[in-house]
Amino acid sequence: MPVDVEQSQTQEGTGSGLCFLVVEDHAFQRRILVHTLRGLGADAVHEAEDGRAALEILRSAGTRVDVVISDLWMPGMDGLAFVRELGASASRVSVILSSALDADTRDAVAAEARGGGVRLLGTLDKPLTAEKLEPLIALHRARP
Amino acid sequence: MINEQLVEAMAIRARTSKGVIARSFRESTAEDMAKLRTCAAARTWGEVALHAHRLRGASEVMGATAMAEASRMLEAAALGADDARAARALDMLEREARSLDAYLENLDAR
Repeated sequence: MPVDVEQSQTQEGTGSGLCFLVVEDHAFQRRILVHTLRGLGADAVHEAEDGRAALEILRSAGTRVDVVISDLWMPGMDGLAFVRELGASASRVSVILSSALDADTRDAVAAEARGGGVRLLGTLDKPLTAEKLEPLIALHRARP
Repeated sequence: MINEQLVEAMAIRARTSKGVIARSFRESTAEDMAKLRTCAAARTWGEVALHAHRLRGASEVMGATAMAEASRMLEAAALGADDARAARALDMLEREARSLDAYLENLDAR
């Protein structure tokens, strides 16, 4: 089930005006990413432990999500199954995939996501930092 | 043991403190290690690989390179269902985890 939501005060930053969904099974890594996004000025940061919980959040009425940041290797619904579901649902949400898995694996999942119609901003190697995230968030803003 | 500069920068950008991050990491590492011991004793190698992978990711966030490397070795051994290699890697990881915990406790007290 969805973990919780962190509301931020409005601040200027790369993430300002945007709502994020963090899909990460490891609580420490998820917490750090939530803090990082809040530091970038995110309007709201939703959290989910796996793909199924993330889909619940995305399907819930009244929940706005602009950018999803998802891990790949998670218990329950993993990142690959999650992006497949996302593509099948014709969601317009932007997606960033992150993992400590090797680049070939990340690239393979990215190719499948793009092929399935997912609006993929890119893939990132862990650990995630504000500096790595900012160019991809900027790319989301530049998209129509 | 960790990259303090990296954690300090992360704390500033995330509008929190180095101590809060260190405490959170110590708690999550203790949980990860407990799960690893249980899964290794049961020889459920898929679970060992997953928890070692998670610990590697968390260690990399802190710039704890020795811990990340020990986790990577256990992850690889577990994926190969190699009992002997997994036992050696878990021993190494236990030593790294104890050293790192003592270091972080001291860091938190500073």
